[in-house]
Amino acid sequence: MKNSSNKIIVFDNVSATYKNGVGIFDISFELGKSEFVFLMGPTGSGKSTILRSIYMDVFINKGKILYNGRNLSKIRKRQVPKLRRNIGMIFQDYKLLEDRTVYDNVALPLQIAGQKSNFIKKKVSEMLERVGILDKYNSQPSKLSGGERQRVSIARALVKSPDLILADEPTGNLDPIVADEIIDLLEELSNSVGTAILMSTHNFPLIRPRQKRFIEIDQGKQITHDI
Amino acid sequence: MISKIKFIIAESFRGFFYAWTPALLSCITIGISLFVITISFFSYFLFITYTDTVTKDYELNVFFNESTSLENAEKSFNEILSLPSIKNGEFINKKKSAKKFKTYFSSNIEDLLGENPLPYSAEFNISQNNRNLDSLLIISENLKKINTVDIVKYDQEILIRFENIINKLMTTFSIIGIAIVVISIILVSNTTRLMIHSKKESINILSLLGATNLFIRVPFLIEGIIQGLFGACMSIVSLYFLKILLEYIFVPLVLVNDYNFQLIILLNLGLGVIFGLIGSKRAVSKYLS
Repeated sequence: MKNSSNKIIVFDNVSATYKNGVGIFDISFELGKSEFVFLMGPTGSGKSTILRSIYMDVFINKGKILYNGRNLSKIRKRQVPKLRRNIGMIFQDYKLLEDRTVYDNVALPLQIAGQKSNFIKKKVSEMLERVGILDKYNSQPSKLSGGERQRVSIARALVKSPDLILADEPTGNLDPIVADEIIDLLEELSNSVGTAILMSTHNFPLIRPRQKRFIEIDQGKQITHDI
Repeated sequence: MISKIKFIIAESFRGFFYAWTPALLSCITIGISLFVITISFFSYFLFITYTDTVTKDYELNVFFNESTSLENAEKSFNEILSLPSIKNGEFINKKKSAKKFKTYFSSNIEDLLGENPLPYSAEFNISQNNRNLDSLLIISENLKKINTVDIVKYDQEILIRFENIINKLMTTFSIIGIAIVVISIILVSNTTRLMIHSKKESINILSLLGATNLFIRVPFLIEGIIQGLFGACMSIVSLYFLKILLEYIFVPLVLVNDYNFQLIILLNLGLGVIFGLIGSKRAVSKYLS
């Protein structure tokens, strides 16, 4: 194992299986701080399971995952919310609260963290401006296009200034042009804010021109070996 | 912290108005429950007061043996009077008994029989705690064991009837009360369950964003309390109109004074909060484990 002090995520021989026997098997990779890495593979290959095991929605049964040097297997269940507050998450289906405005959705992580309302207002406006949808702050998510919804989702993930963003097929529901725009945005944010991003996708043509490191997964097994 | 509390309270109200139909149904059920419970409670309270008035002279008549001397009869009277189950009593000597005879039969017993054959007797009032049939039977049996006592009498039939009525009413009130409370709690619980079900996706999102279990649960609990308070207000308003109606119909017999009505308000608000909280807690514990 290499020195993991400058790594935000280290997967060391990790396996996690569901009741039906599918899952991920012996996955090992590292993600450096401020690094943008793609997790590539067909649908059902285990990409989401890898991401879910990081935010502890799935519990591993072999190996270990280090997050900022901390072994996630040793984190107690009641400490999971605190862990999740440090990680930004972006989903294919956006996971926005449909009965709230864009502003409310983006403010949610800060409200959960108990931040003061003045700080929340400032931070949310800043994030909405950064992702280019400040003018939509009072809109309901249902009134937005897919690309705009994903931008809300990105703003929500970034608003708490996380050190890691897990993006689970964020372009899966978007047309190629908008998908490209979203990856551009994530790349730009990764460069400017210094947040590490682990993004899963099944769309190789989308990521190929970007010259980024990618980890390939198929049927729960790692094809390209990182460590 | 304050912004967190504000958010949780805002969430609770949002939840209440988000699914206002089941929430309103819960409020109405709690309102009806509290209305019936209050009416039952006060009816029972009034009935107890009434029976206390009727039975305030829970009386035992003790007749001493004909052969008992005045001295022994008075001694036995004092002995009985010292019993804790006896509140007070009056010794009836021959003169008083003759006077009573005259009151009842409008004739002088000595004129009729040439002498007064009536025995010494005594009337005893029973202490408050022993004004029930079981105690009365025990006291009566104990008095009969005294040598000088010949007969112990009390108006058993009326007492038995009163006691039976009280017991039946208590049982009925208890059953109705418990049934209503259970129904309210189940309805509040079901409403909260519906809310939880309809918000499953939101709950999942909150959890993914790092919300603790407490953060997710508390708005549902507060929502239950809000339902309880709304229900209590409905009940209080209905009871107020009932009070006005009763005062209008029974002008000289005002049943509920202002002090009692303040108690009713407190009782309704307190019970409303408790019902709402128990109902929502039940659903939250069951469906948000």
